[in-house]
Amino acid sequence: MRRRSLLVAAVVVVVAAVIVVLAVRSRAPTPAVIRIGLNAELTGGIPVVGASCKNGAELAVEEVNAAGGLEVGGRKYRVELLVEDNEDKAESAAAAAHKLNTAGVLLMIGPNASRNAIPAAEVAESAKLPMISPWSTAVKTTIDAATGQPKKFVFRAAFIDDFQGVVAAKFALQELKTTRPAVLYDVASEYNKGIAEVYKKTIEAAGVSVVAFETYTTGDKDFSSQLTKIRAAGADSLFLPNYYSEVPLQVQQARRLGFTGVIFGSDSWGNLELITLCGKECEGLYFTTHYATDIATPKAQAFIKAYESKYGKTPDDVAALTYDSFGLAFQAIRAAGRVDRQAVRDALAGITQYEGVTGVMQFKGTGDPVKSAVIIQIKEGKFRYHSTAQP
Amino acid sequence: MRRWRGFLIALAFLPLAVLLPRWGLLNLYQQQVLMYVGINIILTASLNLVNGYMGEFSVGHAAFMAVGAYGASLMTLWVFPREWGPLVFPLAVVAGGLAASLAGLVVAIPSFKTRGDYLAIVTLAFNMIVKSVLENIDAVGGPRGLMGMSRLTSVAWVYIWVLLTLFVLRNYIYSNYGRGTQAIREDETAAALVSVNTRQVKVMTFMLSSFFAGVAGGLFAHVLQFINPRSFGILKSTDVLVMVYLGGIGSLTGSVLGATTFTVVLELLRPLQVWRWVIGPLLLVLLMIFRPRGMMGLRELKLLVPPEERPEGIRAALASAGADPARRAGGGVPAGGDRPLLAVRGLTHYFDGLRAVWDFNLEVFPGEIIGIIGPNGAGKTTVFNLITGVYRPTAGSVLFRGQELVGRPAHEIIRSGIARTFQTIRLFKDLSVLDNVRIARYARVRYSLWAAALGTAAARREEEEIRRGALELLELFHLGRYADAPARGLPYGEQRRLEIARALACEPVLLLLDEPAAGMNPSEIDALLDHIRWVREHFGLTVVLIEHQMRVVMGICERITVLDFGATIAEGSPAEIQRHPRVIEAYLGEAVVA
Amino acid sequence: MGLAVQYLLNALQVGSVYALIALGYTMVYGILTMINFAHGDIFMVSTYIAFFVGVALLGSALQLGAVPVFLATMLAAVLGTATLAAVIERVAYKPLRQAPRVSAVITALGVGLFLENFTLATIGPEPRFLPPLVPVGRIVLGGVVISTVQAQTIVLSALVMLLLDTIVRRTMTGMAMRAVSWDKFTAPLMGVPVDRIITLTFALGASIAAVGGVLYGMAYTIDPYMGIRIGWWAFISAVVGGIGNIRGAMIGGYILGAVEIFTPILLPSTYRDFVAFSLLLVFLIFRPTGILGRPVAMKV
Repeated sequence: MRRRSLLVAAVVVVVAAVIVVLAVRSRAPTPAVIRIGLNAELTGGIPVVGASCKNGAELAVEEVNAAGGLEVGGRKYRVELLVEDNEDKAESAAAAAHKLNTAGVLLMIGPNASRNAIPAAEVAESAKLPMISPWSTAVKTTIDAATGQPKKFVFRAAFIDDFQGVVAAKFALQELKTTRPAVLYDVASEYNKGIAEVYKKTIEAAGVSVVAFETYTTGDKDFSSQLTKIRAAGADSLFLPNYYSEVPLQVQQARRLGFTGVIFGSDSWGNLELITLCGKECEGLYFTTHYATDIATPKAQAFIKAYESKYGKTPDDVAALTYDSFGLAFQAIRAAGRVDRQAVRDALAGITQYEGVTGVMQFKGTGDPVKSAVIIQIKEGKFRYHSTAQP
Repeated sequence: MRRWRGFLIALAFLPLAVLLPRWGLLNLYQQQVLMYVGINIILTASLNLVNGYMGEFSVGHAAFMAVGAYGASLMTLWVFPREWGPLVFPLAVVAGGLAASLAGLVVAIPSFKTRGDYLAIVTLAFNMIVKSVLENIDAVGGPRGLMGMSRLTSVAWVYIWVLLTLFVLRNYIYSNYGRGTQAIREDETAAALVSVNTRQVKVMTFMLSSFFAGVAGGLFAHVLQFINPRSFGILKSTDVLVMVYLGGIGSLTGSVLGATTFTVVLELLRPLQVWRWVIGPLLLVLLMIFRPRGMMGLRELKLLVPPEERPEGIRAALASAGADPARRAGGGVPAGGDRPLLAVRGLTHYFDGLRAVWDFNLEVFPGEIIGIIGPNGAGKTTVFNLITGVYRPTAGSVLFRGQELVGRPAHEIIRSGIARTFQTIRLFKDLSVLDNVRIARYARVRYSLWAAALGTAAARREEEEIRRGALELLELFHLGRYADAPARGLPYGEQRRLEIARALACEPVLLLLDEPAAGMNPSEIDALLDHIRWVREHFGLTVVLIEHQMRVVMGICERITVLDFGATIAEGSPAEIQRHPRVIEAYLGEAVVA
Repeated sequence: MGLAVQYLLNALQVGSVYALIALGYTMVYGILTMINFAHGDIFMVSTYIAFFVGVALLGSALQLGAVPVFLATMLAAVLGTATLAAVIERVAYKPLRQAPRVSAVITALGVGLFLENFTLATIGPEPRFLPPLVPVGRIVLGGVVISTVQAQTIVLSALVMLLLDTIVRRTMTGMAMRAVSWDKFTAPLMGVPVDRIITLTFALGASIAAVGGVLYGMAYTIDPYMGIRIGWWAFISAVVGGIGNIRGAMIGGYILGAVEIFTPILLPSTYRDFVAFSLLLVFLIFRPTGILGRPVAMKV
């Protein structure tokens, strides 16, 4: 009897102690520091995206601190980065957003994958926390689910899929000259589904019919049924708007099943890890994306050089877009004049044009920038610029 | 009032739950952790009801959480205007819970026939089906999830629901239905044979369990403000399973501890990031190896046990319950009469082609003591099983008080006035001696599930009656001092007596005893025979007993039927049977006859 | 027609792997009536062993041909996985043989979680391709495309299953295994070393899963969490076939393979799980002991 009540008492004491410790730990940040939160996919299905994002973020923060910090309202502030892993899971992304919010960050950068960005954006909007997603292109991220109106606190550094899907379709029709296009996409992920649908709509509006519009679910590894159907429908092109960790498998299986048509994708391909995984099978394939290193502007070149010397590899689009997100954030914080979320938000909304590493962004009243896209072709194991698509 | 003391004390902390957040003493993150702890407690306690108290192995609990989460969310998103959110919230959560309990019904039905691992698969399949169905309904967001819920859950609300859950579950467990649940865990067949309607209990338990899982889901949806089917898959079900077994199955305190420990430890380990999930399972494995029954095992914190159920309470009741031999109505040997109490005709049963019983006939008149004897494997216990509805006979009829018993479920047969004991003692070993006897009252209890769950005064009064009657019965059998001890601790002879006492608590008019003298020496047998005679007289019973020891049978039976290989080979008085050549042959072999 | 054959081949390929893994579940269940929930993760570990060994061999100075590389990788995977399974059995499961069954199940879950996350923490979450252990080619027969990997998977799996069937039915060890699964208490009285047989069973089940792992790795990517889904589907295969029954596990595996391949043809791919599990549910309600399982009558 006594041992048991002792055990219970011990547990109660431990729990109480934990609560006290947690209460003490989360003090308000010391003055002269501005905290910016990073909500990234460090683990899960697309860790390379999270890693690039973190790299881009750290570089941006390092640079601004090395220059003496952020000057806001006559005072200089050191920028501190608070990183949370959203595990590439929607509910963890929302939880991470909550966590960053309670930690008192001024702004949140990320998540990147739209399936994570969308729930995190809901939290940010209701908590009135300004958020910039570097890489999310799905339209729903900046739209309020309840009212259908644009969100007030959510912005992004990338173009949206309403534009990207059209770019992909036009490329397919005009350059690849496809007459029997097919699509295989992840129906469980907002980004993939969104862009696939825009693609289909654009193709059909041009009078061409999509011969196969197949789906799979995140995590599936066997696409043989869908690919067999695609081959049987006589498709001559295959659009794979899917993430870099799944595309190599899809390409490989398609080729092994005898599909010989051209295969291309969207900005979710834009990671060199794709080539590591895919190897020779991906040679000659295309994808739409945000920026290309071989046609970089001087500003971009400076960024690429700094990134390469710090991390030893070429920055991908996620890193570049994250860097640009921080650029936007810093500009807004300076313009706001004070360390206040609402003021920062208003300042962000007031930016009409920003020249970033990834090109010129024009904001026309919403959080979605208007930018051009580029088409990249994989040549000799590298990403090579192919062409530009203007908005 | 005393029995609610624990809950009233806990209720006193409610203002804290409201004010601490408001005064900023608990930041948002801490509030969130507390809310998750509470939600997990509700989940764990609800699963414990099925896996711990009922001893099933339900592996898909997240399915009910999902139904509740989506149900409650749809209520606050679509059914009611958004602005009404805070007012409608409790209603929405209850609605989610009700929807989840309907889902629980779906799982309860297969549980009638399957147990153990197969039921586990059924629950798993159900979990995946629910997840899959939600993924395919685009209207609720499909695999991309449902969002936009307002943050209606608060520490206060979670606290209230935790208290409510524990209150209802505690009441249920210590009620008639809760005892039935535990009896199923101990020995489902024996439970049915002491009048427990096992199907009814299973439905109740599953529905109650899934109701609270649904409540937890509704609360969860309104704290995260986003749900998707992926959150309710196998990993979530596994989490709940771990919490239940960590804390201790069959203990509500264990559920609270298990849920709290699990949630808090995982939060504390967060700085370890991915190593969190390496250390955590390792700790779990170590815990299972060194404490397989979980932290609390089957023990319960005193605060959660109603006062009258605690050892002191039982002993107090025992002292006031006098053993009043005359109290039992209907004493004395029942008069004979010309209509048989039990009439078995042409009873035949095959087990997969093997003939176990063939054309068995028996008539038993009120007040008689009849014996069925025969060598091992003759089919005697099978006859009992056929009469009491454990098996449905291939052919034949069993008329009891003029009613046909064949085709009726076992618990109904027991309720109609037959009780039995078993060849190997089938007590509910982990239940107390008192509970063993009280369970037999299952069919006669009048208060409903609602009354049980709410702990109404009427239910409590009836429980007191039951308790008193059971204690008196125990006293009669000189078992009163063991009342609050687990049945497995009793010495063998006492266990046998308890089994008979339990059978008598069913208020039978016909008592079937299966080898009551097994394992007894001659002097014990004599005592047993006296005991049986006394029981018959005191309770006004008719007795049929199975034995294969001649000494028992000769000493007490008025008429005897002899079975061999399923067929009747002799009938008559003890003297006749003793001299019957075929009987001697069956027992001793042909050579001796000559 | 050609299309149907194509689908059938795909189903056989996928089903073969499920069958191989299902065998491990069924053998352990037959002998201990325990569902080894860590089995899917043991399968996952085998694929990683194959990955590292394959990379090492192909990158090494020894210019080994395809067949030696393949055999060496297979051997390494089989031995490594068998050892792991034996160790897990001795350390985590043996102490719990007398404990309530559910404790063993929770332990198995814990072991599985540990394996997943340990792999994740040490090796990383990215999906990886096995290096080509055998040159990949294609055979085209009248509109049907068979990749060499596919052919290997189907044929090799069938051979392994045949081998297992022979071991179980025609060797002393196999007889000992069957004896222990029938009566764990009497078998030692007949001179059967129960503990050793149990460990052997775990190791054998894991070895077979490892074969499946290498074949799977050659066709798809590997990642630390792959064992979860595959493990559950293989488990369903074992149950559908009749858990405890070896031939049943094989049949069950092919059935699940068919479900996986044929569902997306008729319905959107998101219905896969729904169909598979509904089928399972219906099956369990009408024939709970599976296709080849024995209905167990309990003595009352």
